[in-house]
Amino acid sequence: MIFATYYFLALCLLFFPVYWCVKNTRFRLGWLLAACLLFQFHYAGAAGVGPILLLGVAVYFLGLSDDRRLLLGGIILCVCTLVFYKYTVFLSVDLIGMFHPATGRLLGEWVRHHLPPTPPLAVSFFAFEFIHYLVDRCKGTLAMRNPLQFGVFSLFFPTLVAGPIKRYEQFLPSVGDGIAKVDSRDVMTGLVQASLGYSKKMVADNLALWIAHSQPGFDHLSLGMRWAVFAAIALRILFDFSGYSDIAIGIARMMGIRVPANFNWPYSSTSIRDFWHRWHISLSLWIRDYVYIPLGGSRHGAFRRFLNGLAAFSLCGLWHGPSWNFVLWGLYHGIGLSACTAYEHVPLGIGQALKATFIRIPLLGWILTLLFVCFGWLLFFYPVHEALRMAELLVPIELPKLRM
Amino acid sequence: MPRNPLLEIFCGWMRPGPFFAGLIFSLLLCSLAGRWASSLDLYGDRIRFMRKISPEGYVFPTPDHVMRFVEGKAPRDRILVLVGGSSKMLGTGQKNDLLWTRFLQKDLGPDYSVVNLGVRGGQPTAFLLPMAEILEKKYPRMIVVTDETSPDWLTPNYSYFLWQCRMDGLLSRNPSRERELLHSLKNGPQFPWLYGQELLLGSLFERMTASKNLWNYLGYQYFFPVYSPLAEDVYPKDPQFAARKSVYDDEYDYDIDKKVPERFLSNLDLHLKTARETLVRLIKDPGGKRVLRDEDTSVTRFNDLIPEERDRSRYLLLNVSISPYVLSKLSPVEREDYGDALEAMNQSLAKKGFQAVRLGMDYPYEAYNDAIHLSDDGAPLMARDVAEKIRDITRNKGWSR
Repeated sequence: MIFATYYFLALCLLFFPVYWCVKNTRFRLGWLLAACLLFQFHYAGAAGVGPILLLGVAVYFLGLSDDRRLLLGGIILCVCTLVFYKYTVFLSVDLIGMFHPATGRLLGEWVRHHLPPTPPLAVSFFAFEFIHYLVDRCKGTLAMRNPLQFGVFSLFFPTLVAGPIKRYEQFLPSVGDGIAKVDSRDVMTGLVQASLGYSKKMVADNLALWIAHSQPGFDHLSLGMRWAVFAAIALRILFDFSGYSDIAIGIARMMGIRVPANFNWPYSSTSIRDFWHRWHISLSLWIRDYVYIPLGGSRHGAFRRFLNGLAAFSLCGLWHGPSWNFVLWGLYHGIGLSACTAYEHVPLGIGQALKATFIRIPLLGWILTLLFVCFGWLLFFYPVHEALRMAELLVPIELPKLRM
Repeated sequence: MPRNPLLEIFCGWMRPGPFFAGLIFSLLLCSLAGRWASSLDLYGDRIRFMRKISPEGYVFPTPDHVMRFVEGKAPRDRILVLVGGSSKMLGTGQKNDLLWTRFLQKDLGPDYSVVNLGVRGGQPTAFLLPMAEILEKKYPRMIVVTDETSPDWLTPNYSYFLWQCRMDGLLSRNPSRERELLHSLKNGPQFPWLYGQELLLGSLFERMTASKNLWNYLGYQYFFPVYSPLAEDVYPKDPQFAARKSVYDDEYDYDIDKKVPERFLSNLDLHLKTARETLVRLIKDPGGKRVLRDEDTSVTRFNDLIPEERDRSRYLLLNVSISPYVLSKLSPVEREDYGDALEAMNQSLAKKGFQAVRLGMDYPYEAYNDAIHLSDDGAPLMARDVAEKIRDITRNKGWSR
């Protein structure tokens, strides 16, 4: 974890005192950009920085243009960069290999020889933020003309590793305000939030070790312990993701810059829709605004809405990593969300009766949502057959075999 | 813009001035507590560094704590026998009561203090060689015992210790070590255990704050907040998040229950290959005699690790043979060559000024737990052979009669 390295601590110890002491806003902006560059060069290495800088320069200049074709070209460039670095192995080996194994193997060999073993650091975040900027430019929003501002927006180091995904219309005013008005209360609030994030990460890492230790012997555990592991999986991912976000938001706040919260008590949700308003908020909003709505959203009937939801959520799953697990997890949530929207329309009054029950007994919705989400985490972390096996073992009665 | 309302309320209620004063005061207090914790012998009740109190179990003993461990076990008026290196030296698979260094202590008698710093998967560079260098001044009568390997200064998991000793100014200048430390600064974050920049900064931070001493103290005495999967991997089972002092302090090796020859059969081919690789180290000299290659890595490594200006004659390097059962699967000629190779190794090390002894080839099959580790039955045999050599060394140095 980058935020828990001594190098990061040293960077902060060097960066913050100067940032706080020198009140000149232009200097602060330049100093922030220098820290961002140092962060990116150190953690991504030269091989990781090169493609991102090139992409950034291209997006900056394309973003200055008002020509929609150029802006569209920029969007395609961002998508291609993301697919090339993050999904080439998946597309060639897993997808093509599924239909034609020999070609998949051949492509896989070629790709492994010609691509770096890991994609450039935070390439998904860069791509998503650049796409957001260029799409919004197509809609007529203002361009980022100041290269310093564009650099800070692109390379802002607190949110680089694990989000939140920023929106430049919100972020730039916040940077302007922050560097002009940062005060001791901001620093204090930021420190408290970052500490909270570090504590969550500590819990998450311990849970991860415990899960890794317990999961292989899942069938030998008592029913109570199986449920404890099941709960630990859900808590682990919450603390891990929200811990990262808290650290990022806290560090940004120490600069006076306010970044929106990314998690809002997601396990208190009483429906899947509610869950996606509380979980990784910046990602779900991005998917809604730049995938779901452009695909047509809910404008073309129930079936089209269902398909759009599935496409958007598969992409949301795939964003987490190039693997079928994540695609399946996305589809699972897509189906869940569609069911959540459609159940009210079940005929014979059943839908309305169900809706009334959920309104009367909110606890029921909460339990169902929590179970749905937690089972989803099994799909997120384990192969399908293993996830199903674990789910079966959580039920104390004999079920018809679900295994694939 | 969604916010965290609880946090905003909490921080709205607090006042920044007292908050920062409290923060600075707490940091100072922690640093003072760390310095106090550095003076404690945390592991005094241990007979050796079990993996649950080594980096394998997420416990990173500091130079201060290892120093206290040695000092707690070895009064200054005795001859210190500092044992360390790999799991063979740790006594993997041997019960505490039947540990080979216990037998060694018994064989050598009350004029000697034997301290075991061996670690699983470690090398002499892990704790032993830096500690030997530090302790030379405190214990002028010290013998260092380790197994013959081809050690690097920087090894996964344990490099932090060397960096810490180096940054605390406890070590003298050693060109080969300096070269490796400098080289490790170029490693990237993808090698966290060998990532020099990170280890260097961590050592500096530790030097300023003594935080690891406090962390180890709290974790060892009260509650270790890092879950170690190793904690359950022993018999009997231990609590999962516990004070480390309460975890089971003994070895349990599942291979012990296996009878001969089943205990030697896992990875037999691999061990035979390793034994045969030892033979490649031999060449014929002009007189037709089989000697060790000049460029043998093990000899050159020790030559680099312990410079000539240090007293090499106090370093006893053990050439512990592979299990006699595995050797029995070699051809008679190969077996003889294997013995020659170990002997040639001893002679090469002796030429460089080190002490060396070969052992294990003539032990019974039961003396080994598996292909490389000595069993409870082998422990007294190894202790006997090593004690004999140590007595020779101390007599020659005039430390004993």
